Amino acid sequence: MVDFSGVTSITCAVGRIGPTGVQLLGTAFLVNKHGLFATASHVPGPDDSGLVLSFKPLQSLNDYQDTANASVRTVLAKIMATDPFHDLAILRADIDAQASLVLSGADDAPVGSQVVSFGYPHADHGRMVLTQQNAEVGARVLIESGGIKAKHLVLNTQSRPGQSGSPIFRITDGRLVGVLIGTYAPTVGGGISLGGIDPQTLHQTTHAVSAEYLPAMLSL
Amino acid sequence: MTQALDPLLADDPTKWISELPEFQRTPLQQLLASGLSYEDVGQRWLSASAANTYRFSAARPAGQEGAFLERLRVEMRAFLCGDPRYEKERSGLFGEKSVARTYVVSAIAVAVAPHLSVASTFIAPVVALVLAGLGKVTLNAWCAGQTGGAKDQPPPTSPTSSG
Repeated sequence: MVDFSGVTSITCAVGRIGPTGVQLLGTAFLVNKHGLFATASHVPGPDDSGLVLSFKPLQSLNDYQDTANASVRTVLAKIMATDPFHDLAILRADIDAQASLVLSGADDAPVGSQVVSFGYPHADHGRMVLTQQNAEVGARVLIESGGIKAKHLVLNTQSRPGQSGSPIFRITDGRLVGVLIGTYAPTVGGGISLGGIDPQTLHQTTHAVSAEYLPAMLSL
Repeated sequence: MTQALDPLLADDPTKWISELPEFQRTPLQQLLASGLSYEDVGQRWLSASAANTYRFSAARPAGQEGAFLERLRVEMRAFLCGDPRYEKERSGLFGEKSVARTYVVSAIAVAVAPHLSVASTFIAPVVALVLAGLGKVTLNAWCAGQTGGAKDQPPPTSPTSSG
């Protein structure tokens, strides 16, 4: 079993500076080049003005994360590369650090594989709690975006806003196999909202795009 | 002043796409090969969103605004055809005797992106698609065709219209 304790030092939240402070948008993670972070492209969207990476000191996932402590360290970030077809983006920040991930993809996550994600569920409400979520790959699917089909994993778990951009690792060897992008919803944008929650999204089906599309974006 | 760009415009328009980074080039070429026009492919890039997937973030694709592609073309026309707003950036681009396509695409994207509230890297492939859609025309001739009643009409953008 792989030790994922180091994930606390490579995972951060993506936010945007607004009139009332930093609005959290999703999750990002450090990749194998200095100062570069991967996330889903819809997290920053097309605009990188006021974009920041937010960090909260956390030695261990087992530490008690103080939900009343809203102070974070923010670092300005810019979009270095974005691929809306595959919903992936690379952000650059002035941070002297890099990860040592083994980049892989959905081909290495057959149905039944045990995977784990790390992200910030409910970040849209300002909650910044790095959360581990274990799941099983329920299916591998091709999802079309703009006419381009891309490999995705269907994870048997429920995810929430803020988790987009979370890294998905294979538990057995720590390979990065996907990036969380959202959840299945048959009528996106056309449903109803109850307390800010679309009932269509309340099910055990999370979509993650294959991480195999990342290396080409990192070769710039 | 425009001599640096004219040789590139007179060359094979598909080179604007083929010289993009691989992760941009491959899907764009795939869509063009399916028969879509440069304009259609640009719109696909701007509005791409995974089918039947609820995205867990607040941001929306720029292309959902519908008129974004036309706004981009208007800014590109302003940049390329002498709008004083872009004088500084234009002198940098056209001050070179010869320039690479990647440099032209990047320079235009960097110049117009702030006016569209987007990151330059997001619109760079669409800039390349618009340039490819101009076809084999000199910059002066194209700009002249954009004045008067035709000012807001985009040039033909079909992949087969370039000759």
